[in-house]
Amino acid sequence: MARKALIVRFKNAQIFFDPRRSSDKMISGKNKVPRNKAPRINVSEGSLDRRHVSNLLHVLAGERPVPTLRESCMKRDEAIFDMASKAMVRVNETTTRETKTVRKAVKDSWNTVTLFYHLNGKDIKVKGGLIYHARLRRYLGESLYNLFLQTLQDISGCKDPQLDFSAQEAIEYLNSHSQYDKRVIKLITECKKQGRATIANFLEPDGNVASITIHQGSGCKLNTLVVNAGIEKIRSLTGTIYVPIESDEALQRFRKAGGVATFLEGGFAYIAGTAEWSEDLVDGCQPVVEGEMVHVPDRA
Amino acid sequence: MIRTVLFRGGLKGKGIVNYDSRDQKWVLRERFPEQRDYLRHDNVKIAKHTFYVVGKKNDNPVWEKRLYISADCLRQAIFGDDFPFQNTMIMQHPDLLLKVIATVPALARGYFYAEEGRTALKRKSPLMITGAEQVSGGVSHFEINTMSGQKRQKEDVDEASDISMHYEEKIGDVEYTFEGAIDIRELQFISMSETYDRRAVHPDQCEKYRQYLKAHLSTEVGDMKYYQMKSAVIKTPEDGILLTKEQVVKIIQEIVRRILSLRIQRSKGYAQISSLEVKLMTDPFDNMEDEGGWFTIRKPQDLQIRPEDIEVFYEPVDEKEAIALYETIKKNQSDQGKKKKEAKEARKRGAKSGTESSDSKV
Repeated sequence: MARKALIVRFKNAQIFFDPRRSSDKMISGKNKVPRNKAPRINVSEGSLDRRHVSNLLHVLAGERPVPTLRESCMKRDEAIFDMASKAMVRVNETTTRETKTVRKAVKDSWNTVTLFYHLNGKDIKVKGGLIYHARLRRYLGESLYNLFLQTLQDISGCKDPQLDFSAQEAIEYLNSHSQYDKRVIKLITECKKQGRATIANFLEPDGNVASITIHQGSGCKLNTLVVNAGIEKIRSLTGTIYVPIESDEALQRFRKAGGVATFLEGGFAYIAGTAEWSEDLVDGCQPVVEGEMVHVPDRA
Repeated sequence: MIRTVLFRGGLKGKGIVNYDSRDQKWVLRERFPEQRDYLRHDNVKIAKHTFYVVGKKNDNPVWEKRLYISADCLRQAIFGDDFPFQNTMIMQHPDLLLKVIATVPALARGYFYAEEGRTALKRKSPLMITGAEQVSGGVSHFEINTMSGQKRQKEDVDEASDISMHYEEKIGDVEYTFEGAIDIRELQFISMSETYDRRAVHPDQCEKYRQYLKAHLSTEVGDMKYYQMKSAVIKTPEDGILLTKEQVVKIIQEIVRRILSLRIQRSKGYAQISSLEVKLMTDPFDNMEDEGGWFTIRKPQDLQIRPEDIEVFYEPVDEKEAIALYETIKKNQSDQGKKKKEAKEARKRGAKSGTESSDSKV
């Protein structure tokens, strides 16, 4: 059989090219890693990585793709990988710096933001940050939360402590009275008795404020179940891949599958037909490359 | 036999419904110098665009931009009623999580629930959709606008004060097109195996999952069995549930119904579906670009698919065979691991004895 080209078009295939500089966590495999240390492949502009193309061809040929960045016992089909390595790519259109909202792995990721609390006459940074009345009620439980509000109302003389004080203001206010007011001392004792050490540390004059973390991790009772979403920058590519096909058997493999596949992040790829392989056909195309793998653990 | 359902559609609307970040100003400034006046400041609201090189002028590319609604935005409009926001509470309640993933929208949209130290539950969406790109001739422009909000006063002369005035990209009538596919191979199988790193449901919860899914699909959901892809050369079985042809048709019709009611509404603009065409693909080489086989869908009932025409991509594998195969793989992997460990220790011993002998020479 004369050499043929399998023509595959792809649209809106997105690449995360510059991870946001933050200490947000994400789950890679089963481990938590900072987002900016997430494993990735750097691909030069105008081309594609041959492992990406190989995985696309695996799906189009009715095979399962093989993870590149994660460890897997699955082995790739070398015949398909060989085809992918010889493929030529034409990227017709690109958008750069487009934004995309990325939802993080929800349960075990958290905001590592810190907020200042004015405690014991000093401004102290508290890890995890925001606390509000609903969150406080959830953490303290109904009876202890009512005692918290009652103490606040008794000392400040306000009408509605929930309206007049934000949760942070309330904590700071009670902390400022904790040295001499027996009602606050009683609240602290009750918090300790019920295993709510975080609030006790907030209120005590010599509380271990450095240990306070208000995270969203599942183990923490201050868990707020907040939606985590981050903005990432992406490059969005549309183009064509020409895959050299040397035999009829190879071509038949692509007939047995669905003819469509996803490609990179959110991309849509489909078989657009075949043509005789010629220099004119691949004029202006780039060969596929082997991009640099970054932050991928050593598997040797 | 139908392998994939291809579709292409049009959207009509007014105004911009999908904005990008203000960092786009750097791209626009470089490619469209005539708009630099609007793009000098940070307070600018820019729509999402796609860009094409349409020629060359003085050796520099001449760019054309078209408005664009991202695929994520379209997916949110299609499934927004079921998943208005990502509610993490379900992660804390296994039964609630199971009830969410055992629904038609979850099967169609896909999901990803990861937890540290455990295998993530994930399902790839069988619905592939491109972003919608402008096809009408309207040209967007920048208008000056104001935003309501608190205005901060300057506290000293050098400090920049906040300003609520900003430039915003605007357009009148606009039309877009999009295309996509429903991948029957992805749709019909619910994996419960870690083999291919796509466990959608934990196998221990299979029975409950089947019950919940049955309630949504109104038909009996099959047992968990070992399956492998018919076309695959690498025959590795995977345990999971194979949906029946009738169930696959039901989910396809549900996806099409949702696409037909697609509407993106913003305070200053909207876009809604104006046309939808579908093609039932039986041969992968008879693709999106062939004009034959497309038919227009105006209401969900227009899509008539006979369940017997649906291709089944998976075949069952004998349980004993599958288990024996996995045990062989496990044994070989463990042997390989031991060999590697031994080789590593031997290398360490070699290096240590080398150091000792050089020390004794000294």
